[in-house]
Amino acid sequence: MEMEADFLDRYQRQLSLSEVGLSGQRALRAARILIVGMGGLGCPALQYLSTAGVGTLILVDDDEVSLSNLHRQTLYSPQQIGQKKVQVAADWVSSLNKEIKVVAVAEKFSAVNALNLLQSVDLVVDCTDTFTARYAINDACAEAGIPWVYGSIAKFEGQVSIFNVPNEEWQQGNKRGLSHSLNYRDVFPNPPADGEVQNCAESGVLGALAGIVGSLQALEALKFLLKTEGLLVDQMLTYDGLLHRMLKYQLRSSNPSKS
Amino acid sequence: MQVRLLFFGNLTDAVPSSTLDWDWNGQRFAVVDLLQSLYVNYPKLKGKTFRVAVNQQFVETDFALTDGDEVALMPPFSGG
Repeated sequence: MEMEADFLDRYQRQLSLSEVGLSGQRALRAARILIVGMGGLGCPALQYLSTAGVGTLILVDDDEVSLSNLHRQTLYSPQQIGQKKVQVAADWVSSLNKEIKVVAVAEKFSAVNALNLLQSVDLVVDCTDTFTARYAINDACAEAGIPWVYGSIAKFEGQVSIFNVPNEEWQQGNKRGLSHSLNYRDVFPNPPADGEVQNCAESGVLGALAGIVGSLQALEALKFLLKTEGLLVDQMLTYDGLLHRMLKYQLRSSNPSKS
Repeated sequence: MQVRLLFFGNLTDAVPSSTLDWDWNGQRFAVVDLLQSLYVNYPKLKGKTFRVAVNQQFVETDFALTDGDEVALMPPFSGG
């Protein structure tokens, strides 16, 4: 068990934020986050969630490190080519801070393992690179009532949101409105056709852009755990890295019962 | 009447520029009318998956447009 003095020293630079403080830091330590995907978004997201002191991190990805990952997946090095990403990433977290419980799950997230993986999870961070994975995360989280931080990239652009956030008033018995905020399928009811939207391998991306969007996801996750203002509930943040333009869009459901 | 169009993600491959100013002389001008006009001029947009937002609020296709509106065509992104 980490000495309290070390705990306070390690997080001293963020404890002084009124949004954090000792109670916020303890809330981070008590939190369990599932990160699906340890690639371009997953690496920065994991780095900032673990350095901030999230207590339990479960990493899900069946992929292995390859040479073409190294231009943007900042946790990996050439010596680790061929190794499971989740294991390399988990080892990195452990060397940063032995107090963080990190679980490496070298599987693809799907309806088959979702229920098991979502046990006692407070929040999911989507760092995947396929529509199949994102809809699987969405549907499993909707079923389980768990919020998730969405992130995706396309060349020099990114999208970030937080979906399915529990409505506090509803949870406390005032059952007006919806029990949870909008989710991904409310916004995009059906995935695009195969080949309609390219992924990073097909269209290209600079690591820095993935770093920005993954970091935005980590920040949104921390804000959720710390219960700060400004969460992207029912909103989509878009970032254009060529124009350095950020725009926030107010979402609306395509589902008539939710609009 | 003129609206400013913003295209995001893969939609930028279907149009000459990610930002376009669009003039309209017809009577009724709802999002659905704008999209029909865009599909005629930029056929590659037809069949693409996206939502429409007007002045940064997602809307349905029957939403009536006004001079000076900013209309965004927002597809989902895939990469990670």
